[in-house]
Amino acid sequence: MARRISQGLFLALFLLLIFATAGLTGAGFDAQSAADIPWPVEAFLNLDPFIALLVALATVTVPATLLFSLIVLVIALFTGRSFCGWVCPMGTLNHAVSETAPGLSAAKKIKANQPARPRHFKYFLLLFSLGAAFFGSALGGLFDPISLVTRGVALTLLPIFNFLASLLIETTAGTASHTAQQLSDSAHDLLSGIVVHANGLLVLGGIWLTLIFAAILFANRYVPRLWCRWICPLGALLGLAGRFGILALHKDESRCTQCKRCEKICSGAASPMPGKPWLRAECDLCLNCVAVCPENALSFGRVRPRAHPQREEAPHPNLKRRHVLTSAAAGMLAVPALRSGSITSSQGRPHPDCIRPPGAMAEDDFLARCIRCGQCMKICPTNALHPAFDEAGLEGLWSPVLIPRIGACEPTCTLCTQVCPTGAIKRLHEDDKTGQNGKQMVVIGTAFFDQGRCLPWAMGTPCTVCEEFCPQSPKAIWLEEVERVVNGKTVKLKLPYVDPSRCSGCGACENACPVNDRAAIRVSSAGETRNPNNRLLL
Amino acid sequence: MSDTPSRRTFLRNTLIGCAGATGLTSGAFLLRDEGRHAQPREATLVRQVRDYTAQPAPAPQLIIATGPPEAAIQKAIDALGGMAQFIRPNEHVVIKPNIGWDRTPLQAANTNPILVAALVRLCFAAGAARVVVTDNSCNDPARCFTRSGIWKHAEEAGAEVILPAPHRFRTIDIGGAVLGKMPVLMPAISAHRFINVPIAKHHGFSHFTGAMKNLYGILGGRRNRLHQRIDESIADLADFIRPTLTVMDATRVLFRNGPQGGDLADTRAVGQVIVSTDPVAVDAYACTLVDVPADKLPYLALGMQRGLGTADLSKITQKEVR
Repeated sequence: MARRISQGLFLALFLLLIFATAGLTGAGFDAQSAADIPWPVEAFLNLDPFIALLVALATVTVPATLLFSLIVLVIALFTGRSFCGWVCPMGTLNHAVSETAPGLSAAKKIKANQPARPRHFKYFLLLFSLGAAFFGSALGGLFDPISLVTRGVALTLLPIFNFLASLLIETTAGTASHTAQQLSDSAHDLLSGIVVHANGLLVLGGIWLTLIFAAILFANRYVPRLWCRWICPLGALLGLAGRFGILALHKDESRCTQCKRCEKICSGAASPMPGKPWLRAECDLCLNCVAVCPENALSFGRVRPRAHPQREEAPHPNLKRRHVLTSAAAGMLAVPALRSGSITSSQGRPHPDCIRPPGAMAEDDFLARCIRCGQCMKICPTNALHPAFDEAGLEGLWSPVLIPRIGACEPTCTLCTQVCPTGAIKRLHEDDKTGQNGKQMVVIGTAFFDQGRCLPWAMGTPCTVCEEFCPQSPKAIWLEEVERVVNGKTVKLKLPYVDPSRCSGCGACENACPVNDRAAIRVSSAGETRNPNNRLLL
Repeated sequence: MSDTPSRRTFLRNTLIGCAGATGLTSGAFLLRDEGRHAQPREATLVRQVRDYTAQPAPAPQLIIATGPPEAAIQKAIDALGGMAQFIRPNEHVVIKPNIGWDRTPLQAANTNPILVAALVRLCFAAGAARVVVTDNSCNDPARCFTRSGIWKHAEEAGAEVILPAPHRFRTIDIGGAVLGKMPVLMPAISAHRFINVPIAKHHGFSHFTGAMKNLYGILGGRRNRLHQRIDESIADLADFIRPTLTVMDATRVLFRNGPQGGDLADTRAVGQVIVSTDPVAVDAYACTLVDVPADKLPYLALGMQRGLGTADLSKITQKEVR
């Protein structure tokens, strides 16, 4: 019971931190307010020692915010995988699906809860990730459970909720009933900033994220908490850390009637039944087995000498040295392999569409930190940030890229820089973006005209929406007044040009361009501050 | 296992679920508005003029009030004979400032929030039952409404601040020379009275943006195409919306890098509030405050042709109050 309350509260807190970003703006705020985020929405990621370890290995530094993960690590040293059973939101979701979806009969459940060989995979994945981190890549973040569940909720569930809520609101608003219209107004105001995104919520390529998240949840029907038992590298890390823990499962073999109730309910497949060695590194400390045992044969307590150590407990996973070394080596080799053909690394040619959020570090440093949690994409008020598919190479899968055609980078917004848990996106001040008050302006790219598509350039039609939307002062788009003879009539036109020394690459021009399918002015990563090799001007 | 539903229960539950969903859907179907919802994205209303002018219409005057915004608007309205001339008790009023950009008040890209709040109070003092402040922003609306200061000040004054959202738009046939069917922000036009509260700004394309151009903010959809025939579009909109009053914020103006500015050096304090029932005259006067001569604005002439007002300031009674 206590465990369920704990799981419920932490899941609720996790969801609250993801959903409730309202309050950044509103009647309660002064005009001068920077519209900052008042609470640490990335708190759960900061608590994750696997992420801290990845970043520490990859960058040989530890961002101060990740030091919070020491709390979880210390707790794990004493109590093993208690985090998995009591706190982790991904674990709670898996747990909930396992318990509520009637996938397995009792007999099958007992069978599914026997320790299975694939459980060793999570250790290999952990070692692979650490090996890759050792060579400077935080790609292990793809497999981190907190990162996974953040992505899962923010980039797959939220867009679905947003779609449904918007549909409902727009449908009720379209009815003739005044009451219904008022209801839809109230619903909108209540939900906006939580599940209703003012500028829509689109996740380019989000279907792959959805399918994977759904598959992980669905797998619980066949093997309860399959993800936690077999794949989760954080679980592996915490299990290893708990080797010399102070709590142990004590089994009274004389009382056991072999009813297997404990095995049926064990969430970690940790062999709680007397007569088998308890798998310390697999145990979630959910205490289900103690609660369910009708004979009081099981109890958790301080570690004390065991009569038959071998028979009663397996304190660590019995991994083959060969497999350990191969996994770590594979992780290390993966980095040069991924980067050999990559055009985004510092040696290679920059990808024009790899426009990173403002404050993003140089690509190598960025990939050493980005764990693909999707917080930046969730928080972006214009829906400009999307998970990369191939823009950043295979290694940069699902790292954030800015797509100006969908949303431009707001001129004074620094929200994405505030939520990054690993410092892959450095914290920026408003002045860093505008270049005012003596600050150097952060540039994420440069706009280029496609003169063959531009109304005034190619079609003798007046239009300078790009100039109007350019937030720079003086503007980064300047106009040349000309007269052209179009079909025998003299037309006064203003031809737009980009001033690359003033352009920040925010994409307001591309976003506003009336050529709707492929804009006549487009931003590419050229000139980005973070990459000297991509510099444009002398 | 007993907790697995039998096939019979499953079928029964499915049937009940389907029946419920069908009931809800048909309920919504019966409630829907044929006129508007049969083709939700298409116009079905005929062309119309939204006339919010007060009747009997007082003779047009151009009031130029100098001073801090709160005092200036009070004096200007007094000079016109008081708000009771324009707003009757229990009327619903829309105040339409410029809340287009993620800029702070000093940057003079949005209407002064104190002026907006003062207007809200004047409307309530005249007996208005409801005052709505709304606009369709260019940047993220929540940021624009917050950082302009208008959300806070207008709400403190008792107004309902309504942010643009997709469900608040309806396609209406504006029926102008170039403006046809366009999505219109419904809370902006659903009222007895409409007070247009622009700010005087330079504009890179149309040279000056003020009263007539401020009405762009009631449109949604792809308004970025309107620039191709900007003067006709502006005149069409001014023809569609006939405001009760136009209150031009010239307390601080943006004289270059319009319409967004971004640098305090682009602005200067003028300390004026210009009020009139004639939007064309307000624009013809205010454009000179940002160094744009009135003859550079073809939309003023178009407005005159359509009888929306006069750009010839010698033809209108001018009053300066301080």
